[in-house]
This record gives sequence, C-alpha cells and structure tokens, in this order.
Amino acid sequence: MNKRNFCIIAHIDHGKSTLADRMLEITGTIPKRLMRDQVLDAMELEREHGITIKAHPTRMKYKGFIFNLIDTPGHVDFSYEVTRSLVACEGAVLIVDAVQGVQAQTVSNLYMALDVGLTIIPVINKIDLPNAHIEDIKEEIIDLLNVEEKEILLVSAKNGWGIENLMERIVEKIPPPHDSGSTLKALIFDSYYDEYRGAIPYLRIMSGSIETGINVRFIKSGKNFEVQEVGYFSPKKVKSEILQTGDVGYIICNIRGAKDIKTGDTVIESQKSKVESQSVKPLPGYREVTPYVYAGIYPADGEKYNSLKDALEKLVLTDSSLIYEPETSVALGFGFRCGFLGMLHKKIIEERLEREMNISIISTSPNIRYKVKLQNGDTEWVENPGQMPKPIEINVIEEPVVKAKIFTPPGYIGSILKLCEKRRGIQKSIFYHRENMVEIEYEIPLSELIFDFYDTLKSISQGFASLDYEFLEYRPGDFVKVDILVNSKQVDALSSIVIRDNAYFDAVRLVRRLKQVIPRQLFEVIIQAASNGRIIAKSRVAPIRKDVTAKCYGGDITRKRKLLERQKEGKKKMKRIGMVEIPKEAFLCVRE
Amino acid sequence: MPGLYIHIPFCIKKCKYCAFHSLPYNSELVKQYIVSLKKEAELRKETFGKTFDTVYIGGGTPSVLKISELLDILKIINYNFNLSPREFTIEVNPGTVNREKLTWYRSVGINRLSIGVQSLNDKELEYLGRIHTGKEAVECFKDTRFVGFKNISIDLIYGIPIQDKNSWYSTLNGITALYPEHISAYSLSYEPDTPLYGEKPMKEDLEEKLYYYMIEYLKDKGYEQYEISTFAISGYKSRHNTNYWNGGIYLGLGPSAHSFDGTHRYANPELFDYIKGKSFKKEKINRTEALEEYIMLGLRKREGISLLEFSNRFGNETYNKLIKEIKEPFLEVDRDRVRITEKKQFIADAIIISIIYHLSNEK
Ligand SMILES: Nc1nc2c(ncn2[C@@H]2O[C@H](COP(=O)(O)OP(=O)(O)O)[C@@H](O)[C@H]2O)c(=O)[nH]1
Ligand code: SF4
Repeated sequence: MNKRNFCIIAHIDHGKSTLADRMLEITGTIPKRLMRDQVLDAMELEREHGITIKAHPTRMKYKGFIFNLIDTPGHVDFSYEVTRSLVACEGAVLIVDAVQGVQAQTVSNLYMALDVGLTIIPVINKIDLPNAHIEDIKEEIIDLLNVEEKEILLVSAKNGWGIENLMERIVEKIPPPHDSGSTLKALIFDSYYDEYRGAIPYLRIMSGSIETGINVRFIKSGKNFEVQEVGYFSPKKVKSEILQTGDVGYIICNIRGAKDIKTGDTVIESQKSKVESQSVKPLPGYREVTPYVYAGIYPADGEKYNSLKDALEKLVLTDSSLIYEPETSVALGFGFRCGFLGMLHKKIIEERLEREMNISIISTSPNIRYKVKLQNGDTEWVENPGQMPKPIEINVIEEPVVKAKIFTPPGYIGSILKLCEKRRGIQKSIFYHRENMVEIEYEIPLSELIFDFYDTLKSISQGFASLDYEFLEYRPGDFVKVDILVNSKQVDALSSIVIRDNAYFDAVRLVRRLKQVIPRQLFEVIIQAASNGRIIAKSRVAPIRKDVTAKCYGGDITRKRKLLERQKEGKKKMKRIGMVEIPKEAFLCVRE
Repeated sequence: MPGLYIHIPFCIKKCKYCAFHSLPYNSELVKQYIVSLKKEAELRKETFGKTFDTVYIGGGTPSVLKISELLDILKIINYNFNLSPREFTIEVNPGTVNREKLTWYRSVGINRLSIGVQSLNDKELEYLGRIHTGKEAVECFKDTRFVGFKNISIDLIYGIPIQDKNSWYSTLNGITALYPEHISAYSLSYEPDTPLYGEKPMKEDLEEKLYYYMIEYLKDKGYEQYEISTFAISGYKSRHNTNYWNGGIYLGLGPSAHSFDGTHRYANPELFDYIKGKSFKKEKINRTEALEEYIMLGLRKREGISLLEFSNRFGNETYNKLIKEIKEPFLEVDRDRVRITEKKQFIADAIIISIIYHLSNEK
C-alpha cells in the first residue's frame, strides 16, 4: 500500500511546526509562495491557546505515496487521547534539537509511541546552527533508542536540508497500514466542533471503507448516523468520495453534541442486521473517559449565572470530557459542579471561561468523587464535600483508587518510590522495560495522585519520568469532613474531606492559610475548622485599626478618589459572606 | 459659598515628611511666579466666576513672602475678583513672621491664621525637620494674639515614631493653654520621595489611642470635632475647608492647585510648567464619581450626610442601597443624618470604601 501515517514527537521549539511546514511545501500541499502567512497563522493560534489547539491531521502526496501527518497533545491529563492518536499511526518522526538535545517531555511521549508499537525515525534538527553538537546528540539518541548511528537523520527544517532524505526514509521505514479485510472499522482519534456542521470526528480507517450516504454506528456511544460527507485535510478541508483502509480523514454526519463522539470509539457500518452489527468487535484500547477532578464553578457576579450556563454549554460542544451540573452554595450562590480529566484540564476550562467567554468566575478547590455507603443500605456519590451526609448516616466512605504506571530512567527510582509511598501507594511491580527505562506500577488513591503528583514527579525526576493512570476501583477509607466557619458562619464552599489521621494537621494548615489570604476587615474575623461538630483549629484576622486619610482638601480629593477607584477594583476580587469579604483565591486554599 | 485658594509654592527648607509641591524661597522665582499668577487670574475669572466668600492663601509657606510680594498677589486677586471675604486665611510658619508682618496681614484684611506648629516637643520637631522649636512656635502664637488676630488655627501632627503618650499629651496641653480657636491634627504619613519614606511607623494601636485620646481631651476643653482631623470652638469652624467637604465650588490658583466648578475638576501643573504657561488638566466628574466623592467627603464630617439630600441627589435606588450598608458599630443614624460613629473614625477610609463598593455593585 502507498500510505504512510505518522506523527512528529518533539519537545516544544525543537522544530515540529517548521518541519511540518517544509513537508507541506516539498509535497506541494501549500505552494511556497503562500507559506509564510500560513506559518504565522498557525503559530499565533498555538501561542495563544497553548496546548489546547491541535492541528488537523494533514494529508500530503509524495512521489505517489500518501502521507498523513497526525498531531498529538502532550500532558498526562490527555494521555489517553495521545495514545489514540498514536494508534492511528504506524510511525513517528522523533525530532531532537541539535543544540538542546533530548528533553524529558520528548522521552515521555516517545515511551508512549514505543508502547503502541510505532516505528521511530530519529532526526536531529537545526544542524545549521553553529553551536550544534551533533555527535553528542547522536549518542544520546543511540542510548535512548538502541539504534545505529546511520539510522539518525540530520536536517535543518529551517533551511530545508535533509528533508528529501527524511521523506524517503518515511517511505522506506514506516510500514504501510495493515490491510485487515473489507469490514468497516474506523478509529475515532480526535474531533472538533464546527458551528454549522456539528461535531466532526477524525477517523483512521482500520479496515474496509466509508463513503457518503452509508449509515454508520459508533459502537461505544451506540449512536447511528448517516454519513453526509467524507474527506480529509490538505491542509484545507477537502471533500472526497471515499476513505479506505489506512486512510485518515473526517466524516460529517450532523452530530449535535460532542458527547456522541467518544475518542477511541469504533465506527462500523450499521446497515446490516442487528446481530451482524453486534458481531463486529470494537477496536481494542477504548477507555471510557470519566472526570477525575471535580470543582464548583460560580460566577463572581451572581447576576451572571445564565451567561456562565451558556458558556459551559458551548464549551461542552467542543470538549466532550467536561461535565457539569447545577449546584447551589450558601456562600457562593448558584453555580455548577464541574468534572474534569485532571488539573490541567480544569485550568484550561477556567481560562477559556474567563478569557474566551469573558466571565469572571470563582472556582472552589478541586476534589475527587466519593462513594458513600449509608447505614440504610443506599449508596450516594459525593462530588462536593459540602454535601457529604452526616457522619451518623454513613456506613463507609470509599475513594477511587487508580493503577498508576510510571516510566523513568533508573536514576530516579529511589525518590519516585518514596513519593508513591508517601501518597498511600501500594507497589505492584517494578521492571526494566527497555535498556534504560524502568516501569513502576502502583495502586494509589486518586486523591493522592490527581492534584500535584504529576508536577512533583516531574520535578524529582528532572522532567524525565512520565505518568499514566487508569481507574481501578473504589476502596474504603477512614475519612472525615472538615468544615470552615468564618465568624461562626459555616462556609460550605470551604468544606473538605480528609483522612481522619490527618484531619487535625490539615485543619490547622487550612485555617493558617485562610488567615493569610483573608485581608484585615473593619472587625475581627475568626476562622475556625470544625469536624464532627468540634472545633479543631482556629485562627484570627485582627481588625483594621487605622485606615484614614488625614487631610482632604483641594488636590487631596482627586487623589483620594483615584485611590478609592483602585481599591474598588481590588474589592471585585472578593466575595462577601455574611459581613466578611473573602477573596476568590481563598476558595482554592483547601487544596494547596 | 465658592472659595478661592492661592497656592504659594515656597518654603525656607523642606520638612522631612513633606510631599507638597514647594521649593526653597528665591526672589527671582517668586517674580516669575507672580507674573504667571496674574495671567492665570485674568484667564480664570472669565470662565469660573468672580465672587468668592472665602480666601485661603496656603502653601508651601506663604509667610516666607516679603510684604511687597504678598501685596502684588493681593492686588492681583483684588483686581480680578470680587472679594469681601468673611474668612480670609493665610498659612504661617513659626520662624517666618514677626509682629510687623503680622500687623500688616491684619491691615490688608486677613482675619484668620493657620499656624504650622506640629508639635511642642523639640525632638519631634527635629525629627520632622521643622525649622523652629516648640518655644518659638508658642512665641509666634503669642505675637499673633498681640497684633490682634481673633481667629487662629493650629496644625498638629501625631503618630511620630519617637512620640509617646506623654509627649503627645503635653503638646495638647501646651496648645490648649493658648486657646486657639481651631485645631487641625494630622496623622504623620510617609510619602514616597520624602526622607521619612520607609521609616517604621508608630504601632497602629498606639496611634489609635493617641487619636481617640485627643478627641476626648479636646472635647473636654470645649472643642467640637467637626471633621476627622478638625476641631473648633463654637462659631469658629473653617468656612473655607467646610466648603471642600460640602462638595462646594472652589477656584485654586497657583502651581499644583486644584479647582472644582461643580462638574469638572482642574489640576494645575507644578511650578516650572506653570511658569512656562502650561494649562490645567480638566476632568469631568460623572455620576459615579460624584456619588463617591459625596460619600467620601460627607462621611468625614461629624455631621455626616443628610439622607434626604442624598436621596434627592442620587435617587431612591441608590438611597436604598445606602440604607442597607448602615451597620452598627460603624455607622449611626441621627434623625436625617448618617455618620461614622465616633469610635470608628480612625478606620473611616475602610468604612467609606466598603460602602462605595457595595453601592456600585450589589443589587
Ligand atoms: N536555525 C534553525 N532554526 C530552526 C530550525 N527549525 C526550526 N527552527 C526555529 O526554531 C524555533 C521553533 O520552531 P517551531 O517549528 O515553531 O518548533 P515547535 O515548537 O516544535 O513547533 C523557530 O524559531 C524556528 O524558526 C532549523 O532547522 N534551524
Ligand atoms: S513648611 Fe509645610 S510645605 Fe513647607 S516643607 Fe514644611 S511641611 Fe512642606
């Protein structure tokens, strides 16, 4: 077959976009003349949106071959999405900067690519730079991949040197897609949302073919659709008659919500009888994407509840992994409990709400979802600590536990094990995966892993360790709820669920932290932490004793008013609870 | 009751805490200043109106000017404006006047003096970088009485880091023994670009004590507090300053002087730009700003804000919001008026900003 599907693995700024541009150019996909604008456009978007924007998969023609270049995101929150994109490829071009050498992020992604069995083509880029140390970097790559020196290509994406060679190598080394029969099976590896045409999935055809007019079924979501259009990107959207085995492209079938498209789902033909339909096995590796992290999101201005609702509705169209449900808080009013894939995902959603949708929000500290078995035999799911049932009603509280896989160079094993033990992990296995890569497996409570584990892991391994995790089961734990009272008034948005043994310590830490972030007020503010109706920690914010402008004549009046204006802006970042002004960031203190 | 203010930007020596716009006295500069003042007066009288009920010559240190120089200034204002002021004040610093000068002040119609005494404690005066001692200040005061002034105000400063309760009490004691009609007492502030900036201030709770002690003490001696920093015996409140706090109209002449015509505020440039003929900056006061100023200035006064007047000016909705913000122990209502409680005056700004914020935000 004359098809080659691949992705590019590179550390940021090592030249992924530049190389992609050269490929587009050399294949005539974009005439050189138009290149400049194209590049600038893409860069601007990426800079602005960081990792949230992914490029379309792009089709190119090269000497009778069809190349599909597929983009991948790069963060643990999205590691499942990354693996699905990788599964859509047979190979990966690994770019290493000739000056900077192999970087940790690259290694993590490389492990994932090797894990799904991709053929790797190592490339050293920027060899035009005077301070390139090609020989050293060759050695790094040889160590990493166990390849021979002659397999490493030298290119300058900027000057176009070596690109031709690379194209030849892709043809030669990356295997063509495997032809596995005529029954349609296509992998949904990504999607995007078009305002007019609905949610549009990107497909990799694993077997069979798909064309306009046929009826398809998405196995996992269970939905049936009539295909209205098929096509690919090159780099603009191009309609075509058919997508065949090995092809990468899109289908349009008037899908209303992103929820119907599940990344990793399998598309099959649905015309056949139900029995026949059911006999088609889904592609392996599918995972139900479930939120791991929950947090309350409230409009900073109570009047903006409806705008926030509209904004979330819009976001969900483009991001199916976000979930939300209305909730009310005594302290914060009407808002939503939202579920996210992880902390980065949470941050992205919050930023999109504030920046793209222009809504000032207050978000609460994140938490996981607890399974609460009650005395009366019922089970309740608790995503908001404020809504934990009363202790006497509870039989047992269970927390999610995940299976965490950590890949690391051997040098960091010691500190990583220490970290996992500290986080209530149970070690399952350690083994040398490849030459200089160790795989460590742990069972760890999700609450210990989801908030800052990844960042800690990255820092203790100088960025080299990578993490992937998967839900395992709910396990009982000994938890208590800690409530916060501000001037005797309980602030529900500050409640948290903690391990009983740590309750005292956590409570003290929290009231101290709140003391730091709550500014002095007209009156004394008493912050108390209570558990089971008992006060277990307390702090106090002394009242303002002096705040007065001594003189206020002619010019002072203008100065004073300007000052008031600034102070008024500062107050906007506050929420008034009872009489007490509490800054937005206080609601994030619980988890810090 | 429009007021006319004239800023004299000259002093003998800069005090260490002073962030006002003033330069060392220099007769050449004064000449140029007077030329510009004349031009300004001629221009402003056309647009601003000419009649003023009070005149206030402030600074700086107006009393560093020679009689002839001050005469030129008085001629300018008399020539350009209709003045028959009931209150005509000049600021005076000890060490810059003698009986002759003071007698002359009286002869030209000045009927009120504001003396910058600040403290009677010499160490404190030195700390502040003042050019006089406590004794000299007292002598100066006696001279003003000697030549016949019947309306004298004294400026004081508290919260000086080296000050303690005793020294403050003895300053208050010494001052009240002179029976000035009026006292203004300011808390020491540490302004950027002054030598005191960055000094460790007095502990807040001590300063708070000094402040409330002063209120009690002066009340006892027959002074009525009528504004956060201001006290007077019956019949001697400053009309000129009260006009500022009532949101009244005033024209300020001279470098860095400010004016208000009811709808716009004007800010003059500093001396060198002023001499070059640079004009003021003009800024329109919108409804929100007017509301904020009204509250900010109104609540500085002991008499507070008239609720009736407030609702007439800003409407019922805003009035209702204001009512919601009136909370013990910070604010109190007495018949038609709302004011900051006596014991919370030292956090007036925090109270004011809280009200202003909630007036503009909460429904
Ligand atoms: N000198 C030189 N610079 C390059 C080369 N390839 C890319 N760059 C520059 O490296 C920077 C990052 O490249 P880019 O393609 O945006 O990296 P990406 O973040 O991996 O997509 C840009 O300023 C490029 O112009 C190369 O071969 N030589
Ligand atoms: S006399 Fe007044 S204006 Fe002059 S420097 Fe001292 S404090 Fe400042």
